[in-house]
Amino acid sequence: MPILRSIGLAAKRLFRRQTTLHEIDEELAFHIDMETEKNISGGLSPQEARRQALVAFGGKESVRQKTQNAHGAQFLANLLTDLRYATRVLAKRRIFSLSVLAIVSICIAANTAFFAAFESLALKPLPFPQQDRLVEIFRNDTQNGNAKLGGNLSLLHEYKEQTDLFESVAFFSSHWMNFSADGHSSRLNALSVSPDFFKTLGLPATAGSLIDRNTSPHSAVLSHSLWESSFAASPDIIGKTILMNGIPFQVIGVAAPGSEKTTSWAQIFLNIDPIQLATDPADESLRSANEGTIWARLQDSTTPSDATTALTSLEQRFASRATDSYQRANAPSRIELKLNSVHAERTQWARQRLTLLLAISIAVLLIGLSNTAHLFLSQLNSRIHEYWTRRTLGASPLRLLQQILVETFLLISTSCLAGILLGFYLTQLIAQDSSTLFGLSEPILIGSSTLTYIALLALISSLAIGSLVGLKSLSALRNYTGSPSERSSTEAPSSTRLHSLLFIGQTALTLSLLIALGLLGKSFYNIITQDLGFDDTNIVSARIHLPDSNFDNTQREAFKENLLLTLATNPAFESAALSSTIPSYGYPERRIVFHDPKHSETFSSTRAAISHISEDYLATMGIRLLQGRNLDASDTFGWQTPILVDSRFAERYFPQTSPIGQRINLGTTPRNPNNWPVIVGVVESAKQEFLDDTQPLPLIYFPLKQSWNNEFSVFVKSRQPPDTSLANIRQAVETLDPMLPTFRSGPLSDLIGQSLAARQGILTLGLGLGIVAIILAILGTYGSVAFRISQRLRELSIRLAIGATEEKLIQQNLAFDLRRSLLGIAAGLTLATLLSKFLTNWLFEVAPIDATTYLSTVFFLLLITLIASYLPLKQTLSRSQLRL
Amino acid sequence: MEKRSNSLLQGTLDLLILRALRDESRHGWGIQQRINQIAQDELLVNQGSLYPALVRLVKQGFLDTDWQTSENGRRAKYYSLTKSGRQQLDTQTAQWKRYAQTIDLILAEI
Repeated sequence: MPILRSIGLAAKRLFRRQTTLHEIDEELAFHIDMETEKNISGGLSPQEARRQALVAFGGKESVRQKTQNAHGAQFLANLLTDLRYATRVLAKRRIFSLSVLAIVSICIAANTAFFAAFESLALKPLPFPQQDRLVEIFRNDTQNGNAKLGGNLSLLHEYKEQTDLFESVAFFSSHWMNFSADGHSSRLNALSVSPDFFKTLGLPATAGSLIDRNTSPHSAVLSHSLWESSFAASPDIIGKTILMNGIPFQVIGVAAPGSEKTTSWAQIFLNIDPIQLATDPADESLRSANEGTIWARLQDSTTPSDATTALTSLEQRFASRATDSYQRANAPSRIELKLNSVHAERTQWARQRLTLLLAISIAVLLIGLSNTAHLFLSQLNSRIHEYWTRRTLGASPLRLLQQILVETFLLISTSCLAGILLGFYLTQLIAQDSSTLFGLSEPILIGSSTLTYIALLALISSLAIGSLVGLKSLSALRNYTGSPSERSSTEAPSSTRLHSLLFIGQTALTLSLLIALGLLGKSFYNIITQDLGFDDTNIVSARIHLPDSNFDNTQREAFKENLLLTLATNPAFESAALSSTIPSYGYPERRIVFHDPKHSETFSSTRAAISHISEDYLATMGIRLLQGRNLDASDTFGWQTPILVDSRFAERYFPQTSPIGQRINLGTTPRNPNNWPVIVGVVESAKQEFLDDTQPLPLIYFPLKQSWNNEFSVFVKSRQPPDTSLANIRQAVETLDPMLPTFRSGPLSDLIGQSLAARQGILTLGLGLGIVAIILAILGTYGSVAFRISQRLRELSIRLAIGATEEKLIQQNLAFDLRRSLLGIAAGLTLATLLSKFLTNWLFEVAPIDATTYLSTVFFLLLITLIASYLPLKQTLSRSQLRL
Repeated sequence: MEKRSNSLLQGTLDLLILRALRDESRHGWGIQQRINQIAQDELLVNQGSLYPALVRLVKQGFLDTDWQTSENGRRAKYYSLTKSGRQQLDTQTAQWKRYAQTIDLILAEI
């Protein structure tokens, strides 16, 4: 309470300094006036009475100064003395100081780096004016793991009419395209945008004009970064023609800096063709499509929840007039309309990952602080005489507490500064992989929020540890009489309790952290060792895009055929195939309808993934045929298209009957009622979805031949080195079209590995922190036991002298630590069980309460605890310190 | 003529202030007058020590302050004992008596 009172008074003084000075003056003036009145009543003239009062008062300024000093300067003087003293003491106790410095700075470095990343990536506003009014409108498929469904032009038209809700609404879709200008070609990400796109973003043009309702078709706007990197920020580019996938676009302007932050890769903006824009809002199929993203700028008077309610009722009105099939597929219980801030949606990925890393860092920091408290308490024993001397010389308990707090604060804040420096280097390392790890390639800087966060950590830690040590010291002083021999006497029970509490807390935190990391590690193991359903050994892949401007249907088919022929005749290739999708990179998905409408009604969700393949794909990838037949050279996309489905499809949609011969279509029923695609074969499920996708969709393979696909990957199986295979593929492509680039190329196993880079990176960082936690736990246990033994040297010596064996002493010591560890483990298991719920999104084929992970972690922690507990006593016994 | 020292022994000022406020709250001048009156000018409390001591006792939680209207109708800062101030007065008084007795005893034996 005296500390609180002192802090309260200090704060009060700070804010009331001027008032205090005024009050001192008023009080002293009153004193002189009263003395004057007394003199007047004694018979003196007013002038003489005042003169004598002033003489009696002494130097008024001196009294004023002394009183002011008593108000505040004393505290500052003490503080400076304590700081000087603390510096001397900590410099003298080098091993102790360096231990605390090492522990706290490592923990603070991790916190600095991850909080700085959080501040730079998740908290930093987007570079759009009034970005808090900018929202994304999307739909969630609640029966498909809340999968996010994008928007479409049909919905854009409907939302645009809601002028009371939105200032403007925009639609955009992202495409990787071949870009050619001034004789140079590259591949970049383009956004096809609706006319109100830049108005919605609120960004002006840096040069030329932006896309709006009056813009001519085939116009392009460069992002500021592309303008700088590819055109040296030259204004001459305005009005020039560039080629996007071979189609000419006229550059009409350059957007202000910030437009490239719309998505992670956006570099150029193309206006959507007016014909494409003119969609029929009543077309149910278009309205259900998942084609792109819709952003809207809210009116000042509209809240996101108002807009959500209004748009939901719009959808309900549409559904009430729609067909049964639409109503079923879009029932409010299935498809939920959502409206979220653009900032939240753009930073969601980074936020989830950084929250996990920050939580791990905080857990490690708590373990580190528990260790630090151990160290401070352990050195209390050697300083009790010093504290006793100070008390004897007249220092009040408050002064002693202040001194201990200053000492703790000095050491912890110095460690925090070292931690920030260390964190700065860690930040640079993280920034290099920011794009892979967090999906955002912003620079990571240590900003004011990070510094405030670290300052708060330093203050809270210093206060907590300082108060704990200070109160413990005062409590120890009550029983201390100044005899040096008392210092090595048996430890006080209250001190043992405190050490045990810290030990239990540390064990609980370490266990829960290791369990969390164990679950993440096991998930990663499950991901990389899962049965992919195909064999990626010796397979090399490269992707090709055939621009519509250069390839009509006939040329495209000829290209595919000639390419396959060239590859097949290469003796180094065992087999070669084409596919529109790359395993583990995701896939397009569509709703499917069955020829028998009653069959469609059986299922709440009928979505499936789609891939277009050449006939040798299954053989090249080693995917087994389970029923029916494979695709052959005569199978083409078009009339009664023969299709293959995977075993997941067969199990989900035809659990009782054979799917062979069944007819299905994508989206809606075919316009020609006789033209239903037919299932001709069932194949083994092969991983097409992201490797860590826990709710994969069933898969349908269509023939690539005669399909509309103009982008596909080549897969070849060969025993020759991957580079040679890639060179052969490039050579084959160049023979057919020398200007055609290949991309996303390399050994298939590497491509699959790249898709896991983010998860692997996060796990590596997490495991790094886990190793720090384990080391801290070992050091903490070792230090705690060593301290306890040092306290009990006399008692142990006496017990040895009266016949106890070393084994007996070790057994008793281990039994004591085992009891403490079991309490910590019980607390840790409870904590882990509670926290594991938050890890569900990160787990792959591992239950949040996975018995194997929990038990093996408990066993591991128990083992290292007992070893760390055994060693100090064994060392003490072997040094014969206990012989009398 | 015998030269007498009427300066206060170190540490006794706090005790005298607490004692002066035992029965009623007073302003600074009133406290000084009360001490001088009881001590019959054997002890002189000067302002240079009084006001810093008052600030110190307030900070230690032994005194409370309150701005009130004084006997001559002016605004003045009044000091009064808190609960812990009253306990401190009892403790210090007892300590002082023990100390004085010990000194007396020593002086009597010499």
